[in-house]
Amino acid sequence: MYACLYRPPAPDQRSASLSGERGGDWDAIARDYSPRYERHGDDLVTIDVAGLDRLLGSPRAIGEELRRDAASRGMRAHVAVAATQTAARLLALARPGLTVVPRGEEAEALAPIPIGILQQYFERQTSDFKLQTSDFRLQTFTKWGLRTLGDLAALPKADLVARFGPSGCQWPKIARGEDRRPLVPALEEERFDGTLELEWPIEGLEPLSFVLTRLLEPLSTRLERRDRGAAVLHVILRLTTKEEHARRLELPTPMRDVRTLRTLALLDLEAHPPSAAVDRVAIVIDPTPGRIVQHTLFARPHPTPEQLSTLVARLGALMGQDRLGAPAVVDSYRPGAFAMTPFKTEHGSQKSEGRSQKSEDSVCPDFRLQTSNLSQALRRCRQPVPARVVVTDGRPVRVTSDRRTFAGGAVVGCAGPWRSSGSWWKSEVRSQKSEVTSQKSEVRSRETPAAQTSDFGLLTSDFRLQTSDLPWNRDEWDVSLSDGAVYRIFQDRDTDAWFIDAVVD
Amino acid sequence: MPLARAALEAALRARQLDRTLTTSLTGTGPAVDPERGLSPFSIAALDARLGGGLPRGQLSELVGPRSSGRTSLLLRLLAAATARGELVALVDALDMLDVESAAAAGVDLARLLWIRGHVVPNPGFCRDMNQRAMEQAVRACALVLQAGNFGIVAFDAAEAPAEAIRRLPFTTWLRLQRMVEGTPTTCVLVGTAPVARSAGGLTLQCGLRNADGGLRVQDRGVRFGARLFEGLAIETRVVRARAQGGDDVRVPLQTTCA
Repeated sequence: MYACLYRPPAPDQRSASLSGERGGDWDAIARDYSPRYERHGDDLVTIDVAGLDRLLGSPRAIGEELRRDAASRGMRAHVAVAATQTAARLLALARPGLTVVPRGEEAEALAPIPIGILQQYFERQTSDFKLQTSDFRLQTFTKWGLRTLGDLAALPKADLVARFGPSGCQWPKIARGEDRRPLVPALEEERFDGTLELEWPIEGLEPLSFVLTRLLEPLSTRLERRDRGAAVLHVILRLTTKEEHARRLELPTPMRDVRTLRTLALLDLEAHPPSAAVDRVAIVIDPTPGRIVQHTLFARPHPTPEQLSTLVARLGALMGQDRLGAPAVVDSYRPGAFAMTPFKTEHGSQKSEGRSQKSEDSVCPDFRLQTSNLSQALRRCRQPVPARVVVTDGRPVRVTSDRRTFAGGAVVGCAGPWRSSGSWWKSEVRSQKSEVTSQKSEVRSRETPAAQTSDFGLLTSDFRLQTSDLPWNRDEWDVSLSDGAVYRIFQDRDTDAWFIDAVVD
Repeated sequence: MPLARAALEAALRARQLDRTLTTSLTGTGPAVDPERGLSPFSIAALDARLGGGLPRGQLSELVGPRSSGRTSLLLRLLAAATARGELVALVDALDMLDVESAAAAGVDLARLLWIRGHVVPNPGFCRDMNQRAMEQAVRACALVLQAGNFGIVAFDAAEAPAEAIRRLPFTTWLRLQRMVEGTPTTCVLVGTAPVARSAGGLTLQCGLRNADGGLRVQDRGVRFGARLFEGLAIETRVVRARAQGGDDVRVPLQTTCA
């Protein structure tokens, strides 16, 4: 059962100002009766009065009570009580005084109301379902000769859908007073924050962790009660120098676990420490709807987003943020090219992901079908290792290096060359590379022949690492050496220097 | 008498002392916690030899010299795990993962947490790798194990020089063993020689296949075509496992270039 209160426009200016002053009382009236109420603009409120019959009596008694309450606050209101929100709202908009409609008689009660009331109805519609181009539709209905909601309700559904599309079937439902969605109660914006003034300034992070825990625990409890999670965590530290050290942590998933939030805050402060001692700590949380997780009994559990967030933060603090993530293949012919993407903390079930992936990506092998064939893997040297290569008849016959762990030896078997080049069209980096090449030429002229290759390698590899947009131009060989290992080596065609690029493993 | 023996075994198992015995109390099968299960390679012959795969909750090893197929095998293990929907982590101590190889092996890269060790500024084939980078990688591995619920956690130190491994405190591996114990995670150490297998884990030795059936050497397992390098003919065998019956069964495998 729903009750709707509508404040009609004031007849004169004085009354209007009076009503304006007391406009905020709508919430107060609604809250007095039920926590489940929804505002529709400034002048219309729908209250869920289910269950009030045991307290106040019949629906008419509830309506009378509401009207009296509004009058006692100096407000003139139309009150309608009906079994559906839509019927209550339309009746409150259309009829002055108190209107009570018994359950099941909404359509009859709405039938004589002029169709123009729908204009007012949609002006106050705040929900997701707002019939777009409603003005146009109403004009069309008028042109069709429809005068009342009863006329609209009587239209055949199939014909309306044929003319207006799927939304066409909603119009007769509205005209009959049927609800299209449940009531969405309005809740006050609640702030989740806490502040603690310290008697003595804190300098280290360890004592600060206790303060953070003390602040976060009640906030976490409140978040849990409201079924909310933290989307953003603000840590604001007032320093003894009267400055503010504010940190903002955007959390990958809504979370409210105290230990996780505290750890993330501490790790962030460890990476960005305050410049002086702290004498006040404030925490502000931007809430977001809580995360609903449905675990399955038939799959192994994943690490929770909280665990993964903490892990990624810890690993980032230990290794560096750029040293971890999920690898990704890039659309490039550059040997060894890859990209790093942030590791997702939420992973869906494999079933749903796998179906779509399988159809899209045929590269992923079906493991049930393969038996003993493995895909050949490489181990990349991010910095190619300078090598000395003896070439006979255009083929490498001996590969050695200064590296102690790489003995090298005679070439037992080889395949190649495979020429690969790219990014040569990038003139800027090309000119930079030519500078490097000239530097290498100088080095070559100064150094002994044995050292030439190594220095070549240093320059080239360092330069290659600094920017991934450098042009490359090389001949690759796969060689099997007498030491038993198989390598991918290449010769840079600009410098004629040889490098070990990868180990076949 | 049988009752007394059963009671003794139960008491030892409750205190987790059964795994310290020379022989398994559970019989001839691999020391697998039935609740934890196994991590299969999805290679029928190898899984059959291993009794289903690498045991979870244990530290196992994939060892072998350079070009012995250990990386291909590791990527296959990761691919099989991600195909089952598990999350996997790779602590790449020397930052040598080839992402294209991983993708070609079928690893779902979105489910792979890749932790890259710090590359030594001076170029070198691990010669100048400092100890700090190695210790950092071990700590990263410990953090991942502590987080829990990863299907596979692989620590790749295959190209690390033996001195760097030896310089790590002896308790390092013991600590990792303790961390993984009782969890549903299979921890895999990739290296050149066995160093750290836990009591219930397996050590798989990889090598090139020889014509006479022996492991490794020279070029016999390396297949070159007329123009292309075609792949490696490798084989693996379990060299250390408490459940092994002493048979030296080699599982032949083949790698193929994509």
